[in-house]
Amino acid sequence: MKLEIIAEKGQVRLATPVYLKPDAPHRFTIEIDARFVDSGRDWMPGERHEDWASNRPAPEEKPGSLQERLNSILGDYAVIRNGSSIGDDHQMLMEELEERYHGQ
Amino acid sequence: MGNKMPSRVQLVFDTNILVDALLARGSYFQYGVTLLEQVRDGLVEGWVASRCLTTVYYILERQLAGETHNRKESHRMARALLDEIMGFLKPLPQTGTEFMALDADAGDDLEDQLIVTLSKRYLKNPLIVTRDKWFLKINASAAHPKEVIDNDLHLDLPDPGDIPFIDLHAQQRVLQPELQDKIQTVLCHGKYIMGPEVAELETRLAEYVGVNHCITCSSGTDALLMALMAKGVGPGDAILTTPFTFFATAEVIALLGATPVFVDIDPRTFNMDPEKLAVAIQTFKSTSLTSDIRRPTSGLTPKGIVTVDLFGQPCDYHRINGIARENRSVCHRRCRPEHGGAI
Repeated sequence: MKLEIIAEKGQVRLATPVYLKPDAPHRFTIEIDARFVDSGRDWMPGERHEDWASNRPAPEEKPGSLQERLNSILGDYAVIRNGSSIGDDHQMLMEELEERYHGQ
Repeated sequence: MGNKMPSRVQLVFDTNILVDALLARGSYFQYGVTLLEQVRDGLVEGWVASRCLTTVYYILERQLAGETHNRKESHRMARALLDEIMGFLKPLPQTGTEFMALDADAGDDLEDQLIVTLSKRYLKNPLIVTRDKWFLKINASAAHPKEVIDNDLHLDLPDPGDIPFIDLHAQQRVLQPELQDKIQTVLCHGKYIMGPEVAELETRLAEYVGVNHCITCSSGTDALLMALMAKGVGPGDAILTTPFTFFATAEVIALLGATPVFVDIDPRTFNMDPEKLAVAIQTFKSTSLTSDIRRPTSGLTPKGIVTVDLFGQPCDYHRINGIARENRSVCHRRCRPEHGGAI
């Protein structure tokens, strides 16, 4: 089966959704001609690959600090999260807009 | 960083840095939080393009909705986070014409283009805080928050020699978003003369100063002129005033045909010296007794006193008003930036 993918803002997405069986591989490799590859937009690309998934501590706070205020607002959700690339953010924004304004 | 003098650099926060800081994302989020905290503490100016606020909100809400599985809760938290930073960040206004000025290629990120355009348009020394290298591609003044802090790029403290005697930008920098908003409102309703803002200003000023009435006019010169006209000042009258002021104070006296008589200032306060005022009034009395035509006050009737409060210090009104009462003269106090001051 051939799939069409669209590369945009550092991310790729499927042109039409494909649902795989549970035992199917979920990582695929594509090759892109190096002539078309830009240097990227992420200033510190390494930070995206940090993985706090198993144990996410709360950001350290000092009394009177802004971090204390942010932690107070977020409550249980005041945790350090994985980094996000410029492309990740763009995709998240597109998904949010799609959901909000196209009623998904 | 014990010095509370604000830096000249104006930080403009990109969407990604705000989201990182608010949601503690990635390895460098503390740098963004630190910069925001320094803005909160008045060490550096912080701005955000108004267009970015909805994007920040959408990303915050989506991220939090994915974690809480509760849209109401994610909305509440996203709003509270934005409220927190908008208590000290200033929005770069957008009037709608900026899109016409964009020099964008197909596929360019218009939001980033707007950040650059608005920064250049409204700010003198903008430094865009971002982790998007696109800004470097177009040679915008931009840096990663880690670079900003590690290299103190935002702590460009002004040379004391650079501090202007009169810096109208200083107060405008604080008020600018509100001013832009109000100007836009006036432009929209089109009531440029005697519009609703005039009545509101008069009411609020009267309350603030503690008087029954306030009448606004087009300039300080007109305000002085109106007060003297109300008292019937004209030829043959002398108005005692200070020489250390804007020339309009003496100008309006002459405009009505009266004569300004200058009373020197107290060098400690720069305001009218009550001792010298008393001496000046005595001069009138001795002049009328001797009819000495060589004296400049000869033939003039002292009709009033116009004081000027300078540099946040009111004149010594206990003594000046006393002298005015003794001599049946009128004391008119000319307020400058000392509105609301008390003795």
